[in-house]
Amino acid sequence: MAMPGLLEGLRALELGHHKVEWCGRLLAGLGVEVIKIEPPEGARSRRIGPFYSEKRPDPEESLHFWQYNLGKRSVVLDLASDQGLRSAQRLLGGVDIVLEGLQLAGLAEEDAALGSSLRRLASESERERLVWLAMSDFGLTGPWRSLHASDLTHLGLGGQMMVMGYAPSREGEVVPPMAPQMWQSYQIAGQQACMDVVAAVAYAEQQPAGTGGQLIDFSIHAACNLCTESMLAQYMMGSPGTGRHSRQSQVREELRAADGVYIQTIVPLFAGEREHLIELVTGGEATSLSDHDLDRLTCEYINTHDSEEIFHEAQRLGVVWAPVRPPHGSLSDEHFVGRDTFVEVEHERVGRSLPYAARPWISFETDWRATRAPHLGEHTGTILADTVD
Amino acid sequence: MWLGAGAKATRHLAAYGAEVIRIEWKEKLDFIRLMSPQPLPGDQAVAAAPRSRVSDPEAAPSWNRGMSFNNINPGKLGISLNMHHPRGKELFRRLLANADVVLENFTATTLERWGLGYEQLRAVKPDIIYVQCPGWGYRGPYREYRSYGPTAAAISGLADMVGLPDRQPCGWTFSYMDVVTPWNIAIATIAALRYRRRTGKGQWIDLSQTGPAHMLTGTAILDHAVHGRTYRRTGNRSPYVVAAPHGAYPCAGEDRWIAIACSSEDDWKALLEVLGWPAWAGRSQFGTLERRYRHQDELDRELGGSTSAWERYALMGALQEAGVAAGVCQTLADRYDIDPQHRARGEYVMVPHRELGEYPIENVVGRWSRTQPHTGGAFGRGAPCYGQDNERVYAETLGLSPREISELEREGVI
Repeated sequence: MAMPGLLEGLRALELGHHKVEWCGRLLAGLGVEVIKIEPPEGARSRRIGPFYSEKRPDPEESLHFWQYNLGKRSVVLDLASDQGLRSAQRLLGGVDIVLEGLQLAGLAEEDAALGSSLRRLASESERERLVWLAMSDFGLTGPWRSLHASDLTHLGLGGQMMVMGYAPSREGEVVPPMAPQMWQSYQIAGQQACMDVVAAVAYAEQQPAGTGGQLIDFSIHAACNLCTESMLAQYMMGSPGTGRHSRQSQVREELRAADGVYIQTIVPLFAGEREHLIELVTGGEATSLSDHDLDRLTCEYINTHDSEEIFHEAQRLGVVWAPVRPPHGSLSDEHFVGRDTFVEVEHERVGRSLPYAARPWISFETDWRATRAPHLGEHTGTILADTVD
Repeated sequence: MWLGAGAKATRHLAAYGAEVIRIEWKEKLDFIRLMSPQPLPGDQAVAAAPRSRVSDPEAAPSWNRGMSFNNINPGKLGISLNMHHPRGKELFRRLLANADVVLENFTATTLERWGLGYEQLRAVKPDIIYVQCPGWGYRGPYREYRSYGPTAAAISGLADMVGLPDRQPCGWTFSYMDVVTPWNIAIATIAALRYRRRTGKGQWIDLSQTGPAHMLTGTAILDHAVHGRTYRRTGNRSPYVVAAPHGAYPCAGEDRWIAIACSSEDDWKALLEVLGWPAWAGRSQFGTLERRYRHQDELDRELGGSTSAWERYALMGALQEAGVAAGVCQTLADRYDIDPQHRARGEYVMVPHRELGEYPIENVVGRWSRTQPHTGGAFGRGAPCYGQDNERVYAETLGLSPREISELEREGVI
């Protein structure tokens, strides 16, 4: 029998912009029944590529939608209609959590109004009981609360871009700051929002019935601000701060293995690490080297060996290196296979299964859930029928 | 828990009100205690080196002023305890009997070697929740391998995805997975506590820094499985949504930039209106969104020429007023000294500290209507100095007498 999910027995409603979808996906993975409310034409994330068939982009076949909505259920409601709103109201009565992404800048005013009216619709007793996450770009208050934002601008304002990028070339060519791609700002926010929601639910369940819920006003902008490691803290405490391309942990052009794969090295931090590194790059021939010679021999060693050999030999000797693999590059790695990190999920409509990174940790008591993202309105009938009963 | 990835997780738990007891021992000191010490008034300016090398604990003027350490560990109690001493282990077992959760991020088999693996923990506290987070996890052939944040970014593809297509990836520069992993640890811990309340069962959670990293690569794995495509970096350009311009553009001043994202004709017209309809904008290759998307090299060059005269916040304000998603690429100083939203919402707070008086720290993100978490935790304070709470924990929690405590100190147990 499959092991239970950690948060089994909880129900959540998810509505609004795709910025809130990562939080919902994590909760669904933990066993929460996440009901995604979609408009009749489908969530806008169904129209984001890549698609299963590029010749015929189909909202039922967006890989983006699949990735960010794994394990959820879909109910179609036209919230612009009275009937749709009444159905939503009924659903609110049967859930523990609301993930609301309606107050997001860039959405139509009607959407923001809908957020408020839904909150009004939830009866007072429901509001007292529910954990209501209101995710917005900048928070519900403050001078920037109505600004427009995208993944890119969040990563600019959040500070990620100004600490990432390339050093100027020898010819002095300056490359702009770099944003990490792939909706990282929404993932950064979604992870932290999930943490808040889980903590708030744990609190609510320990209070007398109907008195433990609360509204969490959650800002993507603030979430990104907490995601440049300790760099900001050091500045706040009086350090001059680091700029772009100043860290030695970035991938270096000259550290390319014989098979063309870059090697992520790291400056020795722990006592003994430098000695291990010298042993690795000299084959045990030397015990001490100048910084200059160590760097030269490191390059030589990497340039003349294949990346996987370098990886395992380095780690065997206690040198904390890894190959810079492409995102799919660990799918058949025996370590991640052994940990069941990737889960094959059946997509019956396209007649095959597809791999998802869907098990971030292992327990012998509970497990992660991974079932394919829902078709549009796949669960409208069953869930609304249950709610009426 | 030590270093970044583990200790930040208990920072979050402390912010939610958990009593976190941080166990340390001087002979294997968390070296972050020594990195980048915060100057006191009268000290010389902090060295400009971004990351000072680990120095000798004996030679360090203080173990309590590391900037990263103090940022990572607010709200916790701190005790010293020699886990290699038989009496140290005995004290640990007594603490364990009073605890709900044990969290650690040493190498995978360290606690086992100490005789404190999951089964031994259970023998003392049958419903204990044991969350371990070695770099690569406990299960699996790389159990003995090690990982820092950049290692996890490299192996998972996260590093490969950042940068320009025709150059080496630039990677993340900071340890993204040292930030994300703690969120996972905190989620696992709180969810496991809820599970225990409902079922009476504890559990062993085998987490890692490298595993969760794979989840953050978006659709790259699916795209490879379906189309056989290896993810190709796009710099700042939008890979899947037709948007142009979409990038970082220079502003007045040295190394000053603004991020602009236009995904519609309305955005484009509003952008041009703000820029005063520059002549280049009329070229036919910029006539539609589709064409602008195809001619981004030229578009970026021209747009950069037009933005470079603007003061960055003035341009951001003008573009936002016109409805365009635009944001200054904020530096550390901008985020702390200028960002009016952070100021208005109180994103920075001061926490008291025994040696420093007080120091500034980031607030938690969420604004909760009923039970607001706080970075200073239940004790409303900054990071513990080394062994700061020995008396509180050993006397109040374990009921040891002052004589017993000083004997333990003499014997090198605490």
